[in-house]
Amino acid sequence: MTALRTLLRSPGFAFAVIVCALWVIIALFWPLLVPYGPTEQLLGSRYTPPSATHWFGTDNLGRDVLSRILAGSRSVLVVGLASTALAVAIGTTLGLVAAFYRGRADEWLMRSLDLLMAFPIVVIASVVLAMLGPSRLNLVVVIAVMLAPYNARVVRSAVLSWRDRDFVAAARMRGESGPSILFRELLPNIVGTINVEFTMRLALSIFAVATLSFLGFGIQPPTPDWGLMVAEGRPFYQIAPWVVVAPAAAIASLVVAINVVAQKLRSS
Amino acid sequence: MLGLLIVVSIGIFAMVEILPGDVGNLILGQYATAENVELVRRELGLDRALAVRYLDWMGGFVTGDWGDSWRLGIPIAPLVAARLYNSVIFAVVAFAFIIPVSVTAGVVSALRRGRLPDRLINGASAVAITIPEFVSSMFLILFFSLLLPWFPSSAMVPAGAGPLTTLRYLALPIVAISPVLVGYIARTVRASTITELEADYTRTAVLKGLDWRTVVRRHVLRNALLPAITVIANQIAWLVGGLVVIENVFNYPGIGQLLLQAALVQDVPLLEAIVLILAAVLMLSNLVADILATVLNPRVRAQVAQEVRR
Repeated sequence: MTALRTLLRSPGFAFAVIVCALWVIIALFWPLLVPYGPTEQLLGSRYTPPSATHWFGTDNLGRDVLSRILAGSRSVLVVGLASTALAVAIGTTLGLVAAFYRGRADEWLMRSLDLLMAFPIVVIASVVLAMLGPSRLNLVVVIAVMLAPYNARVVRSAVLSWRDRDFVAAARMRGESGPSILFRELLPNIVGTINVEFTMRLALSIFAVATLSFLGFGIQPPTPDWGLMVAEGRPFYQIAPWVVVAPAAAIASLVVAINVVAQKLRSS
Repeated sequence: MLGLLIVVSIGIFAMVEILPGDVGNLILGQYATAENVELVRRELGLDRALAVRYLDWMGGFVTGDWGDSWRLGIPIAPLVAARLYNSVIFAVVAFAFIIPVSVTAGVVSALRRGRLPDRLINGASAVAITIPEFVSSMFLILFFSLLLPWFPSSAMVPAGAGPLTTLRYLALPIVAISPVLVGYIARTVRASTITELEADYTRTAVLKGLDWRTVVRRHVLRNALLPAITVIANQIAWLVGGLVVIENVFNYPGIGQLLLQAALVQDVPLLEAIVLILAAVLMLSNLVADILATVLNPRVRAQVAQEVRR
Protein backbone atom coordinates (compact mmCIF):
# COMPACT_ATOMS: atom_id res chain seq x y z
CA MET A 1 0.00 0.00 0.00
CA THR A 2 2.82 2.38 0.87
CA ALA A 3 4.52 1.45 -2.38
CA LEU A 4 1.38 2.47 -4.23
CA ARG A 5 1.28 5.77 -2.36
CA THR A 6 4.88 6.54 -3.34
CA LEU A 7 4.01 5.71 -6.94
CA LEU A 8 0.97 7.98 -6.92
CA ARG A 9 3.21 10.86 -5.93
CA SER A 10 4.79 10.68 -9.37
CA PRO A 11 2.66 13.00 -11.53
CA GLY A 12 3.00 10.87 -14.67
CA PHE A 13 1.76 7.77 -12.91
CA ALA A 14 -1.10 9.59 -11.19
CA PHE A 15 -2.24 11.15 -14.46
CA ALA A 16 -2.10 7.76 -16.24
CA VAL A 17 -4.17 6.16 -13.47
CA ILE A 18 -6.75 8.95 -13.77
CA VAL A 19 -7.00 8.47 -17.55
CA CYS A 20 -7.47 4.70 -17.14
CA ALA A 21 -10.08 5.22 -14.41
CA LEU A 22 -11.95 7.72 -16.57
CA TRP A 23 -12.21 5.28 -19.47
CA VAL A 24 -13.40 2.52 -17.13
CA ILE A 25 -16.09 4.81 -15.69
CA ILE A 26 -17.14 5.84 -19.19
CA ALA A 27 -17.26 2.22 -20.32
CA LEU A 28 -19.51 1.37 -17.37
CA PHE A 29 -21.85 4.34 -17.50
CA TRP A 30 -21.81 5.55 -21.11
CA PRO A 31 -25.60 5.22 -21.56
CA LEU A 32 -25.99 8.00 -18.95
CA LEU A 33 -23.32 10.19 -20.51
CA VAL A 34 -23.91 10.16 -24.27
CA PRO A 35 -25.64 13.23 -25.75
CA TYR A 36 -27.05 11.16 -28.67
CA GLY A 37 -27.62 7.50 -29.35
CA PRO A 38 -24.37 5.99 -30.69
CA THR A 39 -26.13 4.48 -33.72
CA GLU A 40 -28.73 7.23 -34.09
CA GLN A 41 -28.53 8.82 -37.56
CA LEU A 42 -29.33 12.50 -37.56
CA LEU A 43 -30.51 13.15 -41.08
CA GLY A 44 -29.43 16.44 -42.56
CA SER A 45 -26.38 16.76 -40.35
CA ARG A 46 -23.79 14.55 -42.00
CA TYR A 47 -20.12 15.57 -41.79
CA THR A 48 -20.84 18.35 -39.27
CA PRO A 49 -17.53 19.75 -38.01
CA PRO A 50 -16.95 19.88 -34.24
CA SER A 51 -19.26 22.43 -32.62
CA ALA A 52 -21.12 23.09 -29.37
CA THR A 53 -23.89 20.65 -30.29
CA HIS A 54 -21.52 17.96 -31.61
CA TRP A 55 -18.21 18.28 -29.75
CA PHE A 56 -16.38 15.90 -32.08
CA GLY A 57 -18.63 16.45 -35.12
CA THR A 58 -20.71 13.85 -36.95
CA ASP A 59 -19.78 11.12 -39.42
CA ASN A 60 -20.92 10.13 -42.92
CA LEU A 61 -24.26 8.83 -41.60
CA GLY A 62 -24.88 11.81 -39.34
CA ARG A 63 -23.97 9.95 -36.17
CA ASP A 64 -22.52 11.90 -33.24
CA VAL A 65 -18.80 11.02 -32.99
CA LEU A 66 -18.49 11.84 -29.28
CA SER A 67 -21.35 9.49 -28.40
CA ARG A 68 -19.82 6.73 -30.51
CA ILE A 69 -16.44 7.16 -28.81
CA LEU A 70 -17.93 7.06 -25.33
CA ALA A 71 -19.95 3.96 -26.23
CA GLY A 72 -17.01 2.38 -28.05
CA SER A 73 -14.87 2.38 -24.91
CA ARG A 74 -16.84 -0.60 -23.65
CA SER A 75 -15.98 -3.03 -26.43
CA VAL A 76 -12.25 -2.21 -26.35
CA LEU A 77 -12.04 -2.60 -22.60
CA VAL A 78 -14.23 -5.72 -22.42
CA VAL A 79 -12.35 -7.54 -25.19
CA GLY A 80 -8.98 -6.27 -23.93
CA LEU A 81 -9.60 -7.26 -20.30
CA ALA A 82 -11.19 -10.60 -21.16
CA SER A 83 -8.38 -11.63 -23.51
CA THR A 84 -5.72 -10.50 -21.04
CA ALA A 85 -7.37 -12.41 -18.19
CA LEU A 86 -7.58 -15.54 -20.34
CA ALA A 87 -3.99 -15.10 -21.57
CA VAL A 88 -2.67 -14.70 -18.03
CA ALA A 89 -4.68 -17.71 -16.84
CA ILE A 90 -3.35 -19.95 -19.63
CA GLY A 91 0.17 -18.55 -19.47
CA THR A 92 0.42 -18.82 -15.68
CA THR A 93 -0.76 -22.44 -15.72
CA LEU A 94 1.69 -23.37 -18.47
CA GLY A 95 4.54 -21.51 -16.77
CA LEU A 96 3.85 -23.17 -13.41
CA VAL A 97 3.67 -26.63 -14.94
CA ALA A 98 6.84 -26.13 -17.01
CA ALA A 99 8.88 -24.76 -14.13
CA PHE A 100 7.67 -27.29 -11.58
CA TYR A 101 7.99 -30.48 -13.60
CA ARG A 102 11.03 -29.41 -15.69
CA GLY A 103 12.48 -32.15 -17.86
CA ARG A 104 11.30 -33.02 -21.31
CA ALA A 105 7.78 -31.61 -20.90
CA ASP A 106 9.25 -28.24 -19.99
CA GLU A 107 11.58 -28.28 -22.95
CA TRP A 108 8.90 -29.19 -25.47
CA LEU A 109 6.40 -26.75 -24.05
CA MET A 110 8.84 -23.86 -24.11
CA ARG A 111 10.02 -24.70 -27.60
CA SER A 112 6.52 -24.72 -29.01
CA LEU A 113 5.76 -21.46 -27.25
CA ASP A 114 8.90 -19.93 -28.76
CA LEU A 115 7.69 -21.03 -32.16
CA LEU A 116 4.31 -19.42 -31.56
CA MET A 117 5.99 -16.20 -30.41
CA ALA A 118 8.08 -16.07 -33.57
CA PHE A 119 4.92 -15.26 -35.52
CA PRO A 120 3.41 -11.81 -35.66
CA ILE A 121 0.07 -11.70 -33.84
CA VAL A 122 -1.65 -9.93 -36.72
CA VAL A 123 -0.72 -12.64 -39.23
CA ILE A 124 -1.93 -15.59 -37.16
CA ALA A 125 -5.00 -13.70 -35.98
CA SER A 126 -6.05 -12.77 -39.52
CA VAL A 127 -5.84 -16.40 -40.64
CA VAL A 128 -7.72 -17.77 -37.65
CA LEU A 129 -10.36 -15.05 -37.65
CA ALA A 130 -10.80 -15.42 -41.41
CA MET A 131 -11.66 -19.07 -40.92
CA LEU A 132 -13.69 -18.71 -37.71
CA GLY A 133 -15.46 -15.54 -38.75
CA PRO A 134 -15.18 -12.23 -36.94
CA SER A 135 -16.81 -12.14 -33.52
CA ARG A 136 -16.04 -10.75 -30.11
CA LEU A 137 -15.50 -14.19 -28.57
CA ASN A 138 -13.17 -15.34 -31.36
CA LEU A 139 -11.17 -12.15 -30.98
CA VAL A 140 -10.77 -12.75 -27.24
CA VAL A 141 -9.63 -16.35 -27.72
CA VAL A 142 -7.16 -15.60 -30.52
CA ILE A 143 -5.51 -12.71 -28.70
CA ALA A 144 -5.36 -14.71 -25.47
CA VAL A 145 -3.66 -17.66 -27.17
CA MET A 146 -1.15 -15.37 -28.89
CA LEU A 147 -0.27 -13.48 -25.69
CA ALA A 148 -0.17 -16.45 -23.30
CA PRO A 149 3.37 -17.59 -24.29
CA TYR A 150 4.90 -14.27 -23.18
CA ASN A 151 3.21 -14.67 -19.83
CA ALA A 152 4.21 -18.34 -19.54
CA ARG A 153 7.88 -17.44 -20.00
CA VAL A 154 7.90 -14.81 -17.28
CA VAL A 155 5.94 -16.97 -14.83
CA ARG A 156 8.22 -19.93 -15.51
CA SER A 157 11.36 -18.02 -14.67
CA ALA A 158 9.71 -16.54 -11.57
CA VAL A 159 8.67 -20.00 -10.35
CA LEU A 160 12.12 -21.47 -11.00
CA SER A 161 13.51 -19.42 -8.13
CA TRP A 162 10.87 -20.81 -5.74
CA ARG A 163 10.52 -24.45 -6.67
CA ASP A 164 13.58 -25.68 -4.76
CA ARG A 165 12.69 -23.95 -1.48
CA ASP A 166 12.07 -25.96 1.66
CA PHE A 167 8.35 -25.24 1.83
CA VAL A 168 7.86 -26.99 -1.50
CA ALA A 169 9.83 -29.99 -0.28
CA ALA A 170 7.75 -29.96 2.90
CA ALA A 171 4.53 -29.93 0.88
CA ARG A 172 5.81 -32.89 -1.09
CA MET A 173 6.60 -34.76 2.12
CA ARG A 174 3.11 -34.07 3.38
CA GLY A 175 1.91 -35.83 0.25
CA GLU A 176 0.31 -32.83 -1.39
CA SER A 177 -0.60 -33.47 -4.99
CA GLY A 178 1.16 -31.71 -7.88
CA PRO A 179 -1.67 -29.33 -8.75
CA SER A 180 -2.10 -28.46 -5.10
CA ILE A 181 1.59 -27.55 -4.75
CA LEU A 182 1.39 -25.53 -7.97
CA PHE A 183 -1.64 -23.46 -7.09
CA ARG A 184 -1.57 -23.36 -3.28
CA GLU A 185 2.13 -23.27 -2.50
CA LEU A 186 3.85 -21.72 -5.52
CA LEU A 187 1.19 -19.44 -7.03
CA PRO A 188 0.79 -17.14 -3.98
CA ASN A 189 4.50 -16.30 -4.17
CA ILE A 190 4.34 -14.95 -7.69
CA VAL A 191 1.16 -12.87 -7.37
CA GLY A 192 3.21 -9.67 -7.62
CA THR A 193 4.82 -10.81 -10.84
CA ILE A 194 1.45 -11.79 -12.26
CA ASN A 195 -0.06 -8.40 -11.44
CA VAL A 196 2.70 -6.58 -13.30
CA GLU A 197 2.39 -9.07 -16.15
CA PHE A 198 -1.34 -8.41 -16.34
CA THR A 199 -0.93 -4.67 -16.86
CA MET A 200 1.85 -5.20 -19.41
CA ARG A 201 -0.22 -7.72 -21.38
CA LEU A 202 -3.28 -5.48 -21.15
CA ALA A 203 -1.48 -2.72 -23.05
CA LEU A 204 -0.43 -5.22 -25.72
CA SER A 205 -3.86 -6.80 -25.90
CA ILE A 206 -5.59 -3.45 -26.43
CA PHE A 207 -3.01 -2.72 -29.12
CA ALA A 208 -4.04 -5.98 -30.81
CA VAL A 209 -7.79 -5.50 -30.32
CA ALA A 210 -7.70 -2.03 -31.85
CA THR A 211 -5.54 -3.18 -34.77
CA LEU A 212 -7.66 -6.23 -35.55
CA SER A 213 -10.94 -4.33 -35.44
CA PHE A 214 -9.36 -1.67 -37.65
CA LEU A 215 -8.52 -4.43 -40.15
CA GLY A 216 -12.13 -5.66 -40.03
CA PHE A 217 -11.73 -8.79 -37.89
CA GLY A 218 -13.32 -7.52 -34.73
CA ILE A 219 -16.58 -5.90 -33.82
CA GLN A 220 -18.85 -5.51 -36.83
CA PRO A 221 -20.77 -2.36 -37.81
CA PRO A 222 -22.90 -0.55 -36.77
CA THR A 223 -21.68 -1.29 -33.20
CA PRO A 224 -19.42 1.58 -32.12
CA ASP A 225 -15.78 0.54 -31.79
CA TRP A 226 -12.67 2.73 -31.95
CA GLY A 227 -10.61 0.70 -34.40
CA LEU A 228 -13.60 0.18 -36.64
CA MET A 229 -14.48 3.90 -36.50
CA VAL A 230 -11.02 4.79 -37.80
CA ALA A 231 -11.42 2.32 -40.66
CA GLU A 232 -14.92 3.57 -41.49
CA GLY A 233 -13.78 7.18 -41.47
CA ARG A 234 -10.79 6.54 -43.77
CA PRO A 235 -12.57 7.01 -47.15
CA PHE A 236 -13.63 10.55 -46.26
CA TYR A 237 -10.63 11.53 -44.14
CA GLN A 238 -10.09 14.59 -46.29
CA ILE A 239 -13.56 16.09 -45.82
CA ALA A 240 -14.19 15.00 -42.24
CA PRO A 241 -10.86 14.35 -40.45
CA TRP A 242 -12.49 14.55 -36.99
CA VAL A 243 -14.27 11.22 -37.59
CA VAL A 244 -10.86 9.52 -37.75
CA VAL A 245 -8.81 11.70 -35.42
CA ALA A 246 -11.13 11.47 -32.41
CA PRO A 247 -11.16 7.63 -32.11
CA ALA A 248 -7.43 7.48 -32.96
CA ALA A 249 -6.72 9.88 -30.09
CA ALA A 250 -8.96 7.83 -27.80
CA ILE A 251 -6.97 4.66 -28.58
CA ALA A 252 -3.67 6.47 -28.09
CA SER A 253 -4.76 7.91 -24.72
CA LEU A 254 -5.83 4.50 -23.41
CA VAL A 255 -2.79 2.49 -24.55
CA VAL A 256 -0.29 5.09 -23.44
CA ALA A 257 -1.94 5.44 -20.02
CA ILE A 258 -2.02 1.68 -19.44
CA ASN A 259 1.57 1.37 -20.53
CA VAL A 260 2.77 4.14 -18.23
CA VAL A 261 1.05 2.36 -15.33
CA ALA A 262 2.61 -0.97 -16.36
CA GLN A 263 6.12 0.45 -16.72
CA LYS A 264 6.02 2.18 -13.34
CA LEU A 265 4.64 -0.92 -11.63
CA ARG A 266 7.38 -3.04 -13.14
CA SER A 267 10.22 -0.74 -12.18
CA SER A 268 8.93 -0.20 -8.65
CA MET B 1 15.70 -25.37 -39.77
CA LEU B 2 14.15 -27.47 -42.53
CA GLY B 3 12.59 -29.70 -39.89
CA LEU B 4 11.16 -26.68 -38.12
CA LEU B 5 9.74 -25.40 -41.39
CA ILE B 6 8.00 -28.74 -41.96
CA VAL B 7 6.50 -28.58 -38.47
CA VAL B 8 5.30 -25.06 -39.18
CA SER B 9 3.83 -26.06 -42.54
CA ILE B 10 1.87 -28.87 -40.87
CA GLY B 11 0.74 -26.35 -38.27
CA ILE B 12 -0.46 -23.88 -40.88
CA PHE B 13 -2.19 -26.57 -42.91
CA ALA B 14 -3.89 -28.00 -39.82
CA MET B 15 -4.91 -24.56 -38.60
CA VAL B 16 -6.66 -23.69 -41.84
CA GLU B 17 -8.16 -27.13 -42.40
CA ILE B 18 -9.42 -27.83 -38.92
CA LEU B 19 -11.12 -24.52 -38.36
CA PRO B 20 -14.78 -24.68 -39.36
CA GLY B 21 -16.21 -23.07 -42.47
CA ASP B 22 -17.26 -25.17 -45.45
CA VAL B 23 -15.29 -24.45 -48.56
CA GLY B 24 -18.06 -25.27 -51.02
CA ASN B 25 -20.28 -22.74 -49.31
CA LEU B 26 -17.44 -20.26 -49.09
CA ILE B 27 -17.11 -20.24 -52.85
CA LEU B 28 -20.72 -20.64 -53.94
CA GLY B 29 -22.42 -18.63 -51.23
CA GLN B 30 -24.76 -19.81 -48.53
CA TYR B 31 -27.68 -20.63 -50.84
CA ALA B 32 -25.79 -23.20 -52.93
CA THR B 33 -27.41 -26.61 -53.33
CA ALA B 34 -25.83 -29.61 -51.65
CA GLU B 35 -24.95 -31.22 -55.02
CA ASN B 36 -23.13 -28.15 -56.26
CA VAL B 37 -21.18 -27.84 -53.02
CA GLU B 38 -20.20 -31.50 -53.36
CA LEU B 39 -19.12 -30.89 -56.97
CA VAL B 40 -16.88 -27.97 -55.99
CA ARG B 41 -15.36 -29.96 -53.18
CA ARG B 42 -14.52 -32.79 -55.59
CA GLU B 43 -13.15 -30.39 -58.17
CA LEU B 44 -10.77 -28.93 -55.60
CA GLY B 45 -9.84 -32.38 -54.37
CA LEU B 46 -11.22 -31.69 -50.92
CA ASP B 47 -12.92 -35.09 -50.70
CA ARG B 48 -9.54 -36.78 -50.25
CA ALA B 49 -7.96 -37.67 -46.92
CA LEU B 50 -6.26 -34.90 -44.97
CA ALA B 51 -2.79 -36.45 -45.12
CA VAL B 52 -3.02 -36.97 -48.89
CA ARG B 53 -3.98 -33.36 -49.38
CA TYR B 54 -1.13 -32.16 -47.18
CA LEU B 55 1.44 -34.19 -49.10
CA ASP B 56 -0.02 -32.99 -52.38
CA TRP B 57 0.13 -29.38 -51.19
CA MET B 58 3.69 -29.67 -49.87
CA GLY B 59 4.84 -31.53 -52.98
CA GLY B 60 3.43 -28.78 -55.16
CA PHE B 61 4.98 -26.14 -52.94
CA VAL B 62 8.46 -27.57 -53.19
CA THR B 63 8.27 -27.95 -56.97
CA GLY B 64 6.99 -24.41 -57.40
CA ASP B 65 3.39 -25.29 -58.26
CA TRP B 66 1.45 -23.49 -55.56
CA GLY B 67 -1.96 -23.97 -57.15
CA ASP B 68 -4.48 -21.31 -58.10
CA SER B 69 -6.17 -18.71 -55.97
CA TRP B 70 -9.83 -19.59 -55.40
CA ARG B 71 -11.06 -16.05 -55.75
CA LEU B 72 -8.75 -14.58 -58.36
CA GLY B 73 -8.38 -17.77 -60.39
CA ILE B 74 -4.72 -17.06 -61.15
CA PRO B 75 -1.59 -19.02 -60.17
CA ILE B 76 -0.45 -18.21 -56.64
CA ALA B 77 3.33 -18.47 -56.97
CA PRO B 78 3.99 -15.47 -59.28
CA LEU B 79 1.44 -13.35 -57.40
CA VAL B 80 3.00 -14.02 -54.00
CA ALA B 81 6.51 -13.61 -55.40
CA ALA B 82 5.70 -10.17 -56.84
CA ARG B 83 4.06 -8.98 -53.62
CA LEU B 84 6.87 -10.40 -51.47
CA TYR B 85 9.39 -8.56 -53.60
CA ASN B 86 7.57 -5.26 -52.99
CA SER B 87 7.42 -5.91 -49.26
CA VAL B 88 11.09 -6.81 -49.06
CA ILE B 89 11.97 -3.54 -50.77
CA PHE B 90 9.82 -1.69 -48.29
CA ALA B 91 11.33 -3.56 -45.35
CA VAL B 92 14.89 -2.91 -46.50
CA VAL B 93 14.26 0.83 -46.91
CA ALA B 94 12.49 0.87 -43.54
CA PHE B 95 15.37 -0.85 -41.77
CA ALA B 96 17.86 1.48 -43.45
CA PHE B 97 16.00 4.24 -41.63
CA ILE B 98 15.13 2.47 -38.39
CA ILE B 99 18.51 0.94 -37.48
CA PRO B 100 20.67 4.10 -37.54
CA VAL B 101 17.99 6.14 -35.76
CA SER B 102 17.39 3.63 -33.00
CA VAL B 103 21.03 2.70 -32.43
CA THR B 104 22.02 6.38 -32.21
CA ALA B 105 19.15 7.07 -29.82
CA GLY B 106 20.10 4.12 -27.63
CA VAL B 107 23.80 5.00 -27.49
CA VAL B 108 23.18 8.71 -26.84
CA SER B 109 20.71 7.79 -24.14
CA ALA B 110 23.22 5.48 -22.43
CA LEU B 111 26.11 7.98 -22.64
CA ARG B 112 23.94 10.74 -21.15
CA ARG B 113 22.29 8.46 -18.63
CA GLY B 114 19.90 10.19 -16.23
CA ARG B 115 20.27 13.53 -17.99
CA LEU B 116 17.85 15.34 -20.26
CA PRO B 117 18.61 13.56 -23.58
CA ASP B 118 18.26 10.18 -21.86
CA ARG B 119 14.99 11.12 -20.17
CA LEU B 120 13.57 12.46 -23.43
CA ILE B 121 14.59 9.41 -25.48
CA ASN B 122 13.44 7.01 -22.78
CA GLY B 123 10.08 8.72 -22.41
CA ALA B 124 9.55 8.93 -26.13
CA SER B 125 10.37 5.27 -26.69
CA ALA B 126 8.11 4.20 -23.81
CA VAL B 127 5.23 5.99 -25.52
CA ALA B 128 6.27 4.95 -29.02
CA ILE B 129 6.16 1.21 -28.41
CA THR B 130 2.54 1.34 -27.26
CA ILE B 131 0.78 3.18 -30.07
CA PRO B 132 -0.71 0.93 -32.77
CA GLU B 133 0.73 1.57 -36.22
CA PHE B 134 -2.59 2.51 -37.75
CA VAL B 135 -3.11 5.23 -35.13
CA SER B 136 0.27 6.83 -35.78
CA SER B 137 -0.40 6.55 -39.53
CA MET B 138 -3.60 8.51 -39.13
CA PHE B 139 -1.84 11.36 -37.35
CA LEU B 140 1.01 11.37 -39.86
CA ILE B 141 -1.43 11.54 -42.77
CA LEU B 142 -3.35 14.31 -41.04
CA PHE B 143 -0.27 16.48 -40.45
CA PHE B 144 1.94 15.76 -43.43
CA SER B 145 -0.54 14.93 -46.14
CA LEU B 146 -3.79 16.77 -45.39
CA LEU B 147 -2.75 19.87 -43.42
CA LEU B 148 0.67 20.24 -45.04
CA PRO B 149 0.51 18.64 -48.49
CA TRP B 150 4.12 17.45 -48.47
CA PHE B 151 3.70 13.71 -48.92
CA PRO B 152 1.12 11.54 -50.70
CA SER B 153 -1.24 9.66 -48.37
CA SER B 154 -0.99 6.56 -50.54
CA ALA B 155 2.15 4.52 -51.14
CA MET B 156 1.09 3.39 -54.61
CA VAL B 157 4.30 4.38 -56.33
CA PRO B 158 3.52 5.33 -59.94
CA ALA B 159 5.10 3.10 -62.55
CA GLY B 160 8.50 4.25 -63.76
CA ALA B 161 9.10 6.58 -60.81
CA GLY B 162 12.70 7.45 -59.98
CA PRO B 163 14.27 6.66 -56.59
CA LEU B 164 13.53 10.13 -55.20
CA THR B 165 9.83 9.97 -56.07
CA THR B 166 9.69 6.46 -54.65
CA LEU B 167 11.19 7.69 -51.40
CA ARG B 168 8.64 10.48 -51.23
CA TYR B 169 5.85 7.93 -51.54
CA LEU B 170 7.40 5.62 -48.95
CA ALA B 171 8.29 8.35 -46.43
CA LEU B 172 5.05 8.40 -44.43
CA PRO B 173 4.58 4.61 -44.28
CA ILE B 174 8.16 4.14 -43.13
CA VAL B 175 7.86 6.75 -40.40
CA ALA B 176 4.53 5.19 -39.39
CA ILE B 177 5.95 1.68 -39.02
CA SER B 178 9.03 2.87 -37.12
CA PRO B 179 7.99 3.95 -33.61
CA VAL B 180 7.45 0.50 -32.12
CA LEU B 181 10.65 -0.89 -33.65
CA VAL B 182 12.78 2.15 -32.88
CA GLY B 183 11.51 2.09 -29.30
CA TYR B 184 12.44 -1.55 -28.74
CA ILE B 185 15.83 -1.42 -30.43
CA ALA B 186 16.80 1.85 -28.71
CA ARG B 187 15.95 0.40 -25.31
CA THR B 188 18.01 -2.74 -25.90
CA VAL B 189 20.97 -0.77 -27.20
CA ARG B 190 20.75 1.57 -24.20
CA ALA B 191 20.71 -1.34 -21.76
CA SER B 192 23.61 -3.17 -23.39
CA THR B 193 25.67 0.02 -23.71
CA ILE B 194 25.17 0.76 -20.02
CA THR B 195 26.28 -2.77 -19.11
CA GLU B 196 29.49 -2.32 -21.11
CA LEU B 197 30.09 1.18 -19.71
CA GLU B 198 30.07 -0.29 -16.22
CA ALA B 199 32.34 -3.20 -17.14
CA ASP B 200 35.80 -3.50 -15.63
CA TYR B 201 37.60 -3.31 -18.95
CA THR B 202 36.04 0.09 -19.60
CA ARG B 203 37.38 1.38 -16.29
CA THR B 204 40.79 -0.07 -17.14
CA ALA B 205 40.74 1.67 -20.50
CA VAL B 206 39.81 4.98 -18.88
CA LEU B 207 42.39 4.62 -16.12
CA LYS B 208 45.20 3.80 -18.49
CA GLY B 209 44.56 7.24 -19.93
CA LEU B 210 42.77 6.44 -23.18
CA ASP B 211 40.83 9.24 -24.78
CA TRP B 212 37.11 8.93 -23.83
CA ARG B 213 36.03 8.90 -27.47
CA THR B 214 38.38 6.02 -28.20
CA VAL B 215 37.11 4.14 -25.17
CA VAL B 216 33.54 4.48 -26.38
CA ARG B 217 34.25 3.72 -29.99
CA ARG B 218 36.77 0.92 -29.69
CA HIS B 219 35.77 -0.73 -26.45
CA VAL B 220 32.20 0.00 -25.42
CA LEU B 221 30.31 0.14 -28.71
CA ARG B 222 31.99 -2.90 -30.21
CA ASN B 223 30.69 -5.02 -27.37
CA ALA B 224 27.39 -3.27 -26.90
CA LEU B 225 26.17 -3.43 -30.48
CA LEU B 226 26.61 -7.16 -30.90
CA PRO B 227 23.46 -8.14 -28.94
CA ALA B 228 21.59 -5.51 -30.94
CA ILE B 229 21.83 -7.69 -34.05
CA THR B 230 19.84 -10.48 -32.43
CA VAL B 231 17.27 -8.00 -31.17
CA ILE B 232 16.91 -6.45 -34.61
CA ALA B 233 16.38 -9.91 -36.12
CA ASN B 234 13.70 -10.63 -33.53
CA GLN B 235 11.98 -7.40 -34.48
CA ILE B 236 11.50 -8.64 -38.04
CA ALA B 237 8.39 -10.45 -36.81
CA TRP B 238 7.06 -7.11 -35.56
CA LEU B 239 7.99 -5.52 -38.84
CA VAL B 240 5.98 -8.13 -40.73
CA GLY B 241 2.99 -7.62 -38.43
CA GLY B 242 3.32 -3.88 -38.89
CA LEU B 243 3.57 -4.36 -42.65
CA VAL B 244 0.12 -5.97 -42.73
CA VAL B 245 -1.33 -2.84 -41.14
CA ILE B 246 0.78 -0.23 -42.91
CA GLU B 247 0.38 -1.72 -46.39
CA ASN B 248 -3.37 -1.65 -45.94
CA VAL B 249 -3.44 1.89 -44.60
CA PHE B 250 -1.21 3.25 -47.35
CA ASN B 251 -2.42 0.97 -50.10
CA TYR B 252 1.02 -0.49 -50.78
CA PRO B 253 0.92 -3.60 -53.01
CA GLY B 254 2.94 -5.86 -50.72
CA ILE B 255 2.40 -9.26 -49.17
CA GLY B 256 0.70 -7.81 -46.08
CA GLN B 257 -2.03 -6.31 -48.20
CA LEU B 258 -2.41 -9.60 -50.08
CA LEU B 259 -2.67 -11.46 -46.77
CA LEU B 260 -5.51 -9.27 -45.57
CA GLN B 261 -7.34 -9.48 -48.89
CA ALA B 262 -6.99 -13.27 -48.92
CA ALA B 263 -8.15 -13.47 -45.29
CA LEU B 264 -11.20 -11.27 -45.80
CA VAL B 265 -12.47 -13.37 -48.73
CA GLN B 266 -11.25 -16.66 -47.23
CA ASP B 267 -9.03 -17.59 -50.13
CA VAL B 268 -7.59 -20.66 -48.40
CA PRO B 269 -4.77 -21.75 -50.75
CA LEU B 270 -3.53 -18.20 -51.12
CA LEU B 271 -3.65 -17.69 -47.36
CA GLU B 272 -1.71 -20.89 -46.70
CA ALA B 273 0.96 -19.97 -49.22
CA ILE B 274 1.41 -16.47 -47.79
CA VAL B 275 1.71 -17.62 -44.19
CA LEU B 276 4.18 -20.37 -45.10
CA ILE B 277 6.32 -17.94 -47.07
CA LEU B 278 6.26 -15.46 -44.20
CA ALA B 279 7.30 -18.23 -41.80
CA ALA B 280 10.21 -19.12 -44.07
CA VAL B 281 11.27 -15.48 -44.31
CA LEU B 282 11.16 -15.06 -40.53
CA MET B 283 13.25 -18.18 -39.93
CA LEU B 284 15.72 -17.25 -42.63
CA SER B 285 16.24 -13.80 -41.16
CA ASN B 286 16.84 -15.24 -37.70
CA LEU B 287 19.37 -17.64 -39.19
CA VAL B 288 21.14 -14.81 -41.00
CA ALA B 289 21.25 -12.79 -37.78
CA ASP B 290 22.76 -15.72 -35.89
CA ILE B 291 25.42 -16.17 -38.53
CA LEU B 292 26.11 -12.43 -38.63
CA ALA B 293 26.43 -12.25 -34.85
CA THR B 294 28.88 -15.15 -34.97
CA VAL B 295 30.95 -13.70 -37.76
CA LEU B 296 31.18 -10.32 -36.04
CA ASN B 297 32.01 -11.75 -32.63
CA PRO B 298 35.79 -12.29 -32.38
CA ARG B 299 35.40 -14.61 -29.39
CA VAL B 300 33.10 -16.99 -31.21
CA ARG B 301 35.19 -16.62 -34.36
CA ALA B 302 38.29 -17.71 -32.49
CA GLN B 303 36.44 -20.64 -30.99
CA VAL B 304 35.21 -21.78 -34.38
CA ALA B 305 38.70 -21.42 -35.84
CA GLN B 306 40.10 -23.51 -33.01
CA GLU B 307 37.59 -26.24 -33.58
CA VAL B 308 38.27 -26.25 -37.28
CA ARG B 309 41.99 -26.60 -36.60
CA ARG B 310 41.35 -29.59 -34.38
